[in-house]
Amino acid sequence: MDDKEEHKKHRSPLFRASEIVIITSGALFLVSTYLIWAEGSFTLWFGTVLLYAVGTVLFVMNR
Amino acid sequence: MFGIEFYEIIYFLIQLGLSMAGAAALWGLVLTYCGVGSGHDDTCIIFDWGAEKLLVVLYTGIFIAGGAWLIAIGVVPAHAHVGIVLVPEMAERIAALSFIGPLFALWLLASPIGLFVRQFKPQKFHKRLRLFYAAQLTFCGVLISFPAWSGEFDFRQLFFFTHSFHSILTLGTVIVLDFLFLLSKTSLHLRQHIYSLFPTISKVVLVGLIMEIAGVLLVFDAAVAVTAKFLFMETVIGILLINGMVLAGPLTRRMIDAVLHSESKLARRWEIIGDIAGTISITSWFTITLVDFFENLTLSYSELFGVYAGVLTVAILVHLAWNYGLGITMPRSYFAWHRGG
Repeated sequence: MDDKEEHKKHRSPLFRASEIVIITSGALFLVSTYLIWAEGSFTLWFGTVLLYAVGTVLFVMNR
Repeated sequence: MFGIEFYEIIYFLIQLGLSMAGAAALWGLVLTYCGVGSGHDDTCIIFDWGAEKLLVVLYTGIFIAGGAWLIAIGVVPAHAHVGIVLVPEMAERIAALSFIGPLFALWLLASPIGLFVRQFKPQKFHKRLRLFYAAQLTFCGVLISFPAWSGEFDFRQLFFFTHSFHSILTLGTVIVLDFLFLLSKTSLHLRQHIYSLFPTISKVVLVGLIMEIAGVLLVFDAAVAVTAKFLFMETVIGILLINGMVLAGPLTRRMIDAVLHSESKLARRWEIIGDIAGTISITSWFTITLVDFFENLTLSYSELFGVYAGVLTVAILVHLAWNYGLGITMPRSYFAWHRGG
């Protein structure tokens, strides 16, 4: 089994970047939820969804 | 109670059962392919064993979905006749019940044949396990795709499809992930092989969420209303994204590292953290799917969050307790039989 090679792939900068992007989008989801409640604004929500989509594509393609 | 109707719980159970059965079929199929791809060595045996074990999840899902469907065909139309005000979605749900009814009945009648063959012709069943899982995945995929029938294939119907089908990739897959995690607990050898699948499984969950959000965007104006339920679900999605990524990324890496280098103390620590993160994941997906079915929920945001936090705490404690009292081992006879066949 090429577990070690698999493991190395996990460490690639793009893979790490995608992880950071998705975690950031999770945090922004919480902020955007507050903004929807406080101001009724969906602008950040749409931006967050886009960011999450980009993060997921990067995450999935890195294998 | 709290604006929750009986039929909404029944529909949730159908969704839960189908997503469990569909995900078990999907990952059972993947495991059989992984097994064959590894030749006839230990990896092949472990993946084949895992695929067989997923039959537990598959038949549990069939039992839940089948039981709820039988109640639904008896109870839901009766509700309609006793004067309950039906929102359009309800009429569409009833339309879907009759639309997919024959296929559902066929699925319920055909599925026990698998158990029968497995009991009396185990080798024959094992040789056709991939075909069996492929058939189950097709059935579950079609059945879960029609939670409601709008009468035509438009954006609304596409939304119904994505809104329902994603559960195989999210809720069902998270249940399978947890099942495999618990299954591999008692053996370092099992963990070394099964943990390597976790990043791939996590990717499928993330894609499932994309599918759901894309479906919502198709009918955004009709689908989104700023209510306590909506805000609560958005909060849980935020938690899911952060937790899911930590679980799929750094945590899985540490766990794979620990089991590959046989560092049992380190592995145990990371596994406990993985346990907690996994329970947050499964509870959150379960919560989102359940709450989504309750159209007129009267609970406020803080009440919803309080219930969620309470359930999460209990789930973590139960998960940890069950986990460390569990004793599943791979029977030696399986190795002998596999090598022989």
